[in-house]
Amino acid sequence: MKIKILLILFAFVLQVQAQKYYTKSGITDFKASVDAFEAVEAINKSTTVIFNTESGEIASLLFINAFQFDIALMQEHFNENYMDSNKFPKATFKGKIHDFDVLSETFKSYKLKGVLNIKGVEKMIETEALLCKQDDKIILKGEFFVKPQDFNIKIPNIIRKKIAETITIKMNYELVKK
Amino acid sequence: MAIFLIVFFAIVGLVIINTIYKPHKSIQDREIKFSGTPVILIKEVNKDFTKWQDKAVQLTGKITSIDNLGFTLEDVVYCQTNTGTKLSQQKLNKTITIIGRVIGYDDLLEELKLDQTIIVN
Repeated sequence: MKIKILLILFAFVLQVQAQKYYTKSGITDFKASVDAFEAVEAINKSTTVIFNTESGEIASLLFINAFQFDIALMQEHFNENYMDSNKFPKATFKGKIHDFDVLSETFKSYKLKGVLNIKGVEKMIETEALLCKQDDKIILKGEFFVKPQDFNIKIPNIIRKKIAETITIKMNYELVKK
Repeated sequence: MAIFLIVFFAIVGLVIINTIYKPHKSIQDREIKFSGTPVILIKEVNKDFTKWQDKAVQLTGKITSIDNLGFTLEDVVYCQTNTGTKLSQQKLNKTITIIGRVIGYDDLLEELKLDQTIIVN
């Protein structure tokens, strides 16, 4: 009987600890600019991120057509010609922050590993993520690099030189308790 | 003749520049493809999402939560504004009408996302 009560209590404590933090307006931006040519960069301000502080698991999702470019025509080409955003509307990431422990007010670096899915193509990503806790928020920052050809993104030869071979993707998320 | 050529190239140049640097399509320029409540729109979106992507919709519903960058209608549609102006908390639980652009169905949070939202009423 005592063991049963203990088990129930234990399960209850575990459930309380399994806390989730999330955002629906996280900022993800990418840069594919080459010096001396027009800047190729865009910002997405509606990235969804869910982070489980108990397991360190993280899942995120963004919509390709929510990337904002300074130049409208570039945005159009990005959606229609390169990303085919009608057919592949979203990009997702599922992974884990390794050795996640208690957060402090200063940024600490953690290993972030997971699977990135762009245009229906999956690729393993490994990078460093900076995390800290400010008031009730968890701030997550980081960047990683991808190559267009890894995700079946074809760039015509004419503009090949104007787009960087490696694209930098930056994450900047402010997560609140769910 | 020289003047004619200069004017000609200036016009061609302007046309090219205007094509390349044309302004972003604002929500007001778009045709509204749906008008109704969030719940009905979600049903339509779940039938065939591709039909609704990047389309302007008009929704009337109750504001169920407000955050720094937007608000949620009927717990199922998250609306972001472009300007980033925060809605006052007094609007909570009030019914409003908005126009926004469908960006996609978020299956992590199970809600539809709109951006470029403007409040009509």
